[in-house]
Amino acid sequence: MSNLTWSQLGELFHAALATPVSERAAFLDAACGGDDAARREIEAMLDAHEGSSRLHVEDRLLSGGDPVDPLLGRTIGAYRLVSLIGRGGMGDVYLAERDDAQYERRVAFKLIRPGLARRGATERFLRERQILAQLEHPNIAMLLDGGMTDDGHPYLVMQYVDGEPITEWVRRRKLPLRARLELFCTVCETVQAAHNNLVVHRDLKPANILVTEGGEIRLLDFGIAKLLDETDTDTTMALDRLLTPAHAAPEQVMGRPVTTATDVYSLGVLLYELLTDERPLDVDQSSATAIERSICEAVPEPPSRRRPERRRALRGELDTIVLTALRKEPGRRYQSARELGEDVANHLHGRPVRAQGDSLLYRTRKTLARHRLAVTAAAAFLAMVAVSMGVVTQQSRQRLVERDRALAEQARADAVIGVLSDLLTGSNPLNHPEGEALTQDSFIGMLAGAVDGLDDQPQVQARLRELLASVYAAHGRNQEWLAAMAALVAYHEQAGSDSLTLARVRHNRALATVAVHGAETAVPLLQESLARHRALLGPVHRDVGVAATDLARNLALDDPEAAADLMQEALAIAEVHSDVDSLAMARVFNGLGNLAMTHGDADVARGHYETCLELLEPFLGEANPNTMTVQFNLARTLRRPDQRARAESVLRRNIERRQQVLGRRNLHVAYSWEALGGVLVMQGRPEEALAAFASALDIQREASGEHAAPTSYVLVKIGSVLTVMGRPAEAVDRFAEVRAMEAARMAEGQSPDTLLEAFGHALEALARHEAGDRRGALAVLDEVTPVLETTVPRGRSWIPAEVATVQATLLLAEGQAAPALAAARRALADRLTYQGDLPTMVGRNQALVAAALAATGQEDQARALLAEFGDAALACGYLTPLQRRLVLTARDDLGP
Amino acid sequence: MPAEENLTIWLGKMSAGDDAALDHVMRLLYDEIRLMARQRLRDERADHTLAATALVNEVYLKLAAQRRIDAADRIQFLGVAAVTMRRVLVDYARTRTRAKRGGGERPVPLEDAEPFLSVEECDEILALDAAMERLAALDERAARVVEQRFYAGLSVEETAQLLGVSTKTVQREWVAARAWLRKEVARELGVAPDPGAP
Repeated sequence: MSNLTWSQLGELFHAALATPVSERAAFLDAACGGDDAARREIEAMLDAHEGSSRLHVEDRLLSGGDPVDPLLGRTIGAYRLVSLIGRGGMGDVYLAERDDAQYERRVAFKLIRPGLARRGATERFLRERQILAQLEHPNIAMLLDGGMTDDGHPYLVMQYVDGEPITEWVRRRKLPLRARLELFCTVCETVQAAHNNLVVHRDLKPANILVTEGGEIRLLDFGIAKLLDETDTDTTMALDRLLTPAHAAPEQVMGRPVTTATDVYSLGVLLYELLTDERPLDVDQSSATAIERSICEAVPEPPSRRRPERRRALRGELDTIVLTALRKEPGRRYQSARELGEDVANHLHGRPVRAQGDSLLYRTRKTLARHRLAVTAAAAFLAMVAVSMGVVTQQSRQRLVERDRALAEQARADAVIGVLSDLLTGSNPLNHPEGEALTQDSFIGMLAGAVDGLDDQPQVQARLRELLASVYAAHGRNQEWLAAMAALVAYHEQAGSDSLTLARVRHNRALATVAVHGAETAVPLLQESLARHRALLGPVHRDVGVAATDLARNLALDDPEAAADLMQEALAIAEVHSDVDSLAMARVFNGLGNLAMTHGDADVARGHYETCLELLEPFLGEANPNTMTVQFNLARTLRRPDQRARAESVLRRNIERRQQVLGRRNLHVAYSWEALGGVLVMQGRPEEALAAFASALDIQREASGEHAAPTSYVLVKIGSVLTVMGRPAEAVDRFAEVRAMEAARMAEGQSPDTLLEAFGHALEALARHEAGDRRGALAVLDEVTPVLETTVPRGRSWIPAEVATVQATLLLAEGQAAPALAAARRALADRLTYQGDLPTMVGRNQALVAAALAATGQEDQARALLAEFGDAALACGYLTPLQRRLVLTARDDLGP
Repeated sequence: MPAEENLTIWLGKMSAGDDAALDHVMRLLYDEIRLMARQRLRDERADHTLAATALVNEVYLKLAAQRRIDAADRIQFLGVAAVTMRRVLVDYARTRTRAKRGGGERPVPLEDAEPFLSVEECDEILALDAAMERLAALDERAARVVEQRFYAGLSVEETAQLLGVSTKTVQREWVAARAWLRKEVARELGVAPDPGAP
């Protein structure tokens, strides 16, 4: 840096900037004299000003760019900019005049927003221009010209349309229903024409659908159109959409991929407005959360109910057509704009319409088909649901409406806290389970301090305390969680809060009780909670489903049958709400899958993940990070020998997609590499496995940290593969590195990961033994044994099985036959618990048991076991040389 | 924008000692920051609703923990939020560059896959923050201008109003400081100039 002060620097910089480029060198020579450092600094600033080192974050942080508009009155190409007529997602639109006054005197001149020019926007702009040029349709505003301004910003010139938004046009002329519907059919045809050219409009709304004086339709502004290209994984979401939320489809407010179905939804909104002169949803704009909630959850009232005076015309077919176009899930709407237009035409001409409302029967059938529930139980439950719904419908629709309104109020009031806690417990990227204790703790401390300081405002205090409680829960600070929940229950009881609030806090107290005192203590509380929710909300409310799920999870060990029944109930409830909340349902299934995996039930887990994907994909698309997460989870269930080829291909595709979407060095890409390495080991392809683990390690070092636990795990696996490959010396080096990482973690004050350490040390012992360091190997093994027997949980992971396998191997090699047999048996038992579906893994342990039996003189049993499992174990490709020798020796000793 | 009026009203009531106003301010703040966060995270990449929400939550929590926010109107409030936003982004970038979480052993929760900022952007955020410190040492006001413009997205006029200087001054400081920061960050990250950029 030079020694100039900031104001000197600024003066010089601005003066240089004002000097023509050709004279700058001379100017700087004179101005800086001999101060080379100053000159270099100014030159670097000038370069940076021109954009040569523009930051990536600038586009994201600095929206809108500089608010200067020096363009008005200027002439660009053949166009003079007259006035600003609109701002769109991609750029500003001016009314301009052609200087040479040819065919079109007045045009719409669209200039790309400068701030967007970095991230491939220019490219997209040019593509848009190309698409538009191909889009010749009498009802679409035509592209006339395009080019670059002198300072390199692309622009488009389009036909200027002098017209009126379609809704105002029909309203002002008091157009009869039939004429409105005919006009709508023309709009559908036009949109279809664009779709045929692979253009999605994405922003269809009355302001973009004009009717000219002559009564002709003109569609404007394909500003955010993009090619429907399968390889294009970007999911351009116009944030501007929030400014006109009334027309946004659920996938748009949620930032999901936009397809032609999005335009179908917007057409549905338009049709609704044409039929009722009102918008389908009264979008609650009190907050962004409320907007999302309105659009993604609220089901529009049928048009006939909105306008009772038009009831006869609208009821039935038109109601159904509109509601079909407005379905929340893109896949359940009309397949195309044409289909929608045709159905309206069918109605106009008295032909049967295609759209069908969902009957309860349809739903029931769908439920049964999808979940293959025990038919009787599900049927009984659904009959109960049907009855209760029917009863509600007939007796107290009014009360239901009131209750829903009250619930909506409640939801609004809790929007802040609801979203906050969702994020803090689940999706918050700052929320790493074992993450940066310092920032997070100080954060939580701040929050706790704020809560304590609010004694004089008990209501606000309670709200924030609830948030704090969920933060404690997410961070596993269970004692504090329980204390906070107890305080909340006490407060609400004393304050006479409404029964729903009480039910909620009591339920959460029950969950905190599970965390602190275990399932057994909490089950009565959860049972009570479920009963309370049922009584308050009826049998099919979503919260009842949540309460049932929570109870089921905690009953799973003691009363699996009751748990299964509850789970079915929860599923059936989720299914009833699937129209408005398929994402929540997907979450349930992913959670169920994870639960099954921790119990080693790969087949069950796979079923859940598949259902989850079925729900997610139409909604999120394949390239969404969440979808990819579930695909990854699914791949991990494919572990039987006959499934490994599929697992490999799923994981390789998963890696590719994650790299595209998340970046090559994303942690999730590392997870996929690591899982792929595991699959390759099982396939007996150690070299390739090493390469996959190396990719994972490389990313983990950077993303998790040089000596972070996840990095260690990968390194341990690499060491283990090297041992199997007969390269124990290299393996020993790796394990030394693992030790160093362990020490570094301890020096940082992290609590030890006993599972990881048992795993790493056991495999280290094996590698040392294979490398000829018997004494070292046994010393290490002595360290592992007590840890394994006291602190490592069994049956939740395959790692204890692996550690016990190593113990058995080494004890046997050392001639300690009796303890070797005990270890081999424990290894086998653990293996059967967690990986009982993997015949080669089980076979390897059976062979070791056999070898230990032989060494203890139990020859008959040993012979029988070897006959059954010996060949498979020897062929499996992941016995270490020592293990192989042990099995072969036993076989030779025993004879046939 | 009605929310804007409301915010001003409630901020006024809050400073006048109306305790119930805090609750309203909190709620409106949340919306304001959320809008701001959405703009900050304007991105063409995948799904970012969650990321924007997460960012706003961090900012919100930090502000909520302060309990008293000295702001008479929306602009002043955004000024306060800018400082907080900067801190959150930097903390995030720092956390992310040495994130620790479970390995490939455990199933991943569904919502765990949202990148907030890319690794590249994290590096920039950290380098930018360091450069901002150096700029503040050189000239406090220039750093403040950048902070308001960059992290709160205030316009030149709004920044001028907030700092009590002329728009011309803000514009000059902004252009010079931006060039200086770009240069500093590029130097720190060793980025080669990109001749293709506009």
